[in-house]
Amino acid sequence: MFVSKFWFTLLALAMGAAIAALLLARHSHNLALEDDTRALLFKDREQVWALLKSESRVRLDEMLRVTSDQDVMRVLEKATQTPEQMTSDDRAALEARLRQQNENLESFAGDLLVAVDRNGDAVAHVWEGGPQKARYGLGGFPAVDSALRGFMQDDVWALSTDPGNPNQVKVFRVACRPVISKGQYVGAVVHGQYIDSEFATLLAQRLEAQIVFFRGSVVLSSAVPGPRFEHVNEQVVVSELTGLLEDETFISNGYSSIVPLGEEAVALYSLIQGEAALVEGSRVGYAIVRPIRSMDSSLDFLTNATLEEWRGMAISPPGIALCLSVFLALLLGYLAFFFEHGRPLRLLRRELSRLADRQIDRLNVYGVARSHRTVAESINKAIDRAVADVAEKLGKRPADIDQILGPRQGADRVSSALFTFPDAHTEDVPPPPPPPAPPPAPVPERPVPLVPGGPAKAQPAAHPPAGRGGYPPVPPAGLHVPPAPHVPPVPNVPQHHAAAPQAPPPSPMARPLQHAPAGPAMGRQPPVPAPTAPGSNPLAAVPSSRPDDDDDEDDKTEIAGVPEELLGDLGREDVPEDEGTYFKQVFEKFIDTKRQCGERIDNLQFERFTQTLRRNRAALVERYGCKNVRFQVYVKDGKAALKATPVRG
Amino acid sequence: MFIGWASLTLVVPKPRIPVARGSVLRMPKEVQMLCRISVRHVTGALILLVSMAVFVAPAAAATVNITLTLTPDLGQRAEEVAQKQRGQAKRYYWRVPNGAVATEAPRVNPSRDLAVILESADGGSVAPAGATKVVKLQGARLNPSVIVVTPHTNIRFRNDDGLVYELRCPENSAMANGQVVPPGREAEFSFDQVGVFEITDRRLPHLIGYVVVVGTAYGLNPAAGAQVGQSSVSFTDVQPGRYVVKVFHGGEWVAQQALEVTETEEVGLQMRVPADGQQHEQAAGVDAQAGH
Repeated sequence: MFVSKFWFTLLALAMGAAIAALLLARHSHNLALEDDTRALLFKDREQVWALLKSESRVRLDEMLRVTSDQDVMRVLEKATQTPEQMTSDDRAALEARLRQQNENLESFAGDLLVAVDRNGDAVAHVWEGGPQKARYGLGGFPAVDSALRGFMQDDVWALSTDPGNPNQVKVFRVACRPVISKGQYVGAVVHGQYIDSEFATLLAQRLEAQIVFFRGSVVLSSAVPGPRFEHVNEQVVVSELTGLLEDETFISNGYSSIVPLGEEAVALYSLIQGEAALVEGSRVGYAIVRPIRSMDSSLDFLTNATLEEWRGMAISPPGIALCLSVFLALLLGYLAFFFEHGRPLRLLRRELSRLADRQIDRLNVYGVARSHRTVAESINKAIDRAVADVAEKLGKRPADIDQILGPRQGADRVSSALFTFPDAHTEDVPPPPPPPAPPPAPVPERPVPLVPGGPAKAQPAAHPPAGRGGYPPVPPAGLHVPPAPHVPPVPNVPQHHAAAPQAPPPSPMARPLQHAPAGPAMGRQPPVPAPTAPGSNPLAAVPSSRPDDDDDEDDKTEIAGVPEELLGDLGREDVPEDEGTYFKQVFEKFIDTKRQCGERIDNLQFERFTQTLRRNRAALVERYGCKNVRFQVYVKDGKAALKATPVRG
Repeated sequence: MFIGWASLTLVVPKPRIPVARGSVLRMPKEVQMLCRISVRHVTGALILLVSMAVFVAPAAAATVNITLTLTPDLGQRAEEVAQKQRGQAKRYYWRVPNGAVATEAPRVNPSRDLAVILESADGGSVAPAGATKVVKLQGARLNPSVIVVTPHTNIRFRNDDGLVYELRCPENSAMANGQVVPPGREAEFSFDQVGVFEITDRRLPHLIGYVVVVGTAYGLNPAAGAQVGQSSVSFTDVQPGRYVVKVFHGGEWVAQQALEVTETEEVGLQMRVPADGQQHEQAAGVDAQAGH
C-alpha cells in the first residue's frame, strides 16, 4: 500500500506540477511573447528606417536620368543665364521632356517632377494637382537649396497647393538632384512620390506588420501584409497620437516607446525623417502595429503543435527521456497496484470463494494480505455472531471440546482433533496422519514425544494470535465440523509409543524424522477431526513452532494426530510455574538442538522466542480451554522445531 | 515756427486808410479794402517770412553710402541658423555631393536676408507710422526675410507662390494662431511695438523671417553688389550727427559701426559682415528698444 500510495502521491504531485507548469508557462509564454513583440517593433522601426533610406538613395540615383537629359540641361541653362529669353515654347519643351523621363522611371515615376532654375524658381513640372500658378518657387526648401549648391538630398514635404482647399495636404517623399551644364549649376530637378497605400503596402509586406502613415491625427495611408493579418483599426492607431505629438521626448527622439493598443496589439510611433516631421500639430510619421498573439488557453501548447513538432519531440533526446519516464512510471504504478492491491484482492477473493463453497467455515486471516485481514476478521466475527445467534435460537450451548472429541478417557485428555491452527493453506481440522508402517523407532526422550506421522508431515501453519481468526473452539451446529467421536484411530502405531516419552531416545534429534513418515498436509485434509481414538497409538498432533524463522514463521504450528493417552499423560505433566524459567529452558534446549543440527543461532533472540511461545500458548489456551501449554523441542527435516502441547488442568 | 505764427497773429493791425480832413474820398470797396493793407502789414509779413526761414528751413542733409562685404562666414552662419531651426535631428537620409562639380558654400541673398539700420546715437523721438510695406511669399520663403519698419506700420504678406502658406508670429496677436495665405492671396498685419518679430510658417518649417520695428532709425535692405559677396545700401537725407550702423541677419545684429554725419553731401562706409571679432548682438525682443 505504501508504494502505491507513494506512487499516487507522486502522480498527483506530478500532475499538479504539470498543470501548474502549463498555467505558469502560458503566462510566461505570453509575457515573453509580448516582450518579443515589443523588441520586434524596434527592429521593425530600424528596418523601416533602412528601407526608406535605401529607397531614397535609389530615387536619387534614378534622378540621374533626368538631370543628365540634354534638353533639360539646355532649357535650365537658358532659364538661369538668360531668363529674359525664356519662351513658353522652352517651358513646354522642358515639360514634355520631363514627362517622358518620368515615364522612363517606371516604378520610380514621380508624382511630382519639377525642374527649377538657379534661383529655385520652377521652370516646368509634371505635377498633377500641382500649383496653378505658372511661376512658383521651391528654392526655400533646404533640399532644393542644397541641390542648387551641388548636393543630392532627400526630404519629405507636406504641401498644399489648392487655393480653394488649403487644408488638402499631400505628403511627398522628395529627392533633389542638381542639374549641371558645362560645369556650372544651372538648376535642379525635384522628384517626389506620394506616401500612399502602395508604398505602405510595400513596407507592410517587408515588415510583415501593419503600418499606418499619419499626418497629425489624419491617416495618410495604411496597409497590412495580408488579408489574414490581425490588424487594428487605423483610427484607433492615430487616436493615440493626441498627446504624443506634443510630447517633447517623442519629438526629440523621433520615436515613441511601445504603446499598447488595447490588449491585443502594440504599436511603435515614429516620425518620418524629413521636413514634414517638423510641422507643428501635423507631424508626419508612421506607426508600426503588431498584434500580441497571446495564448488563451494552456492547452494551446498541445493543440497548436503540429504533427511534425510532435514527431520531432518524440525522436529528440528529451522526448525519448520523457517517454521512458512515462513508461517507467506506468510500469512502477502497475507493479505497485499488482502487489499491493490486485494480488491481495485476489487472495481475499479466493478465500471468500472457498468460504462460499463451504470448503472452509471461516476465513483464514493469515491467508489474505494484511490490508485485508481486518476485513477477514470482520467476516469471521460476523460468522461467529451468526452461529452464536443460531445456536442460541436453537437452544443449544456451544459445543465444547468434550462434545466434539467425545468422552475422554482422562479428565485432562486433550484431543488433537481441534488442536489445529489455520495456516496459509487450510483451515480445516487436520485428519489423523495416515497409518504409516514405520519401523519401530526409539521413543524420543520426554518431553519430546514420538510423532510417527504427524509432525514430520505437518504443514507449516501460521499461528494466529490468541483469539484471532482460526477455528472457533467449538464449531457450532450446522458448520462443517465433524464431531469428535468420529475421529478415526491412528492405525499401526505401536503401543509402546505411548510410553515413549518416558524412554529416553538415543537420538532425539533424528528420530522424530524417522518416525514421521510423510503424510497429507493438514491444510489439504478435509475437515475431519484428528484421528485420535482411545486405545490407539497416542501420537497426537501438537502445535509446532519454528521460532528461528521470521515472524510469520514464528507463528507456524504443525498439527498432527497424537494419541490421546500420550496427550493425556503429557497434558498431565506439570509445566513449571515460573514461565521465565520454563521458557528459558525451552530456549536453551532449542538452541542446543539447532546447534546440533548445524543451524544458525546468531539470529535467535530470547525475547522474540518468548513472545512466540506466549502467543502460541495464549492461542491454545483460548482455543482449547486448557490450563497450560507445554513446548517440546524436536528435530524436523534436520532442523530444530517446537511443538506445543495443551495441558489440561 | 510756433513763435512765428504767434508774432504773425500779434502784429497784424486793423487796416486803416488815411482820409483828407473835411473831405470825404469815396473809393470803390475793393480799393478801399486794398488800401487798408498798410506798410505795417507788409513789415509784419516780412518778419513772418524771416522767422519761418530761420526756424523751419532744414539743415544741410547728407547721403550715407554703406558698402557691405559679405564674408563666407555669413553663409556659414546662415547654414547654422537653418540647422538651429530644424533642430539637431537629421531630417534627411542622404545629403551627398553630386561627385561631378564641387559643391558651393551657402549663399546669402543680401537684398532678401540682410537689413541695415542707421540709428541715431543720441536717440530721438519715435518716428510716425510709415507706409505699408509688402513682403512677398515666394519660393517657400519670405522676400525679404528681414524688414525694418517703424511702429504702427502695416506689413502686407502677399503670396506670389504656388503653395499655401500659414504664417505665424507668436508675438503678434493677429498672427499668433497662424494665418493661412493661399496662392494669390495676401494678409496684412500691423506691428505696433518696437522689437524684433519672428515670422514662421506652420506648414513650411524651414521658413523664417523677421520684422524689425524701430522708431529712431532708418532701415533698408541692401542691394546686391556688382561683385559676388558685395552689397550696398544708401541712406539719403541724413542729417549731420552721430549714428550707429547695424546689420541684421538671421535674428541677430551681426555687425555694427559708429558713423558721424557732417554737412557733406555723401558719407561712405565700408563694413564686413559679419564683423571680425565682434560678438553678435542678440536681437532684442519686442519689449526692448531695437538697437539699444
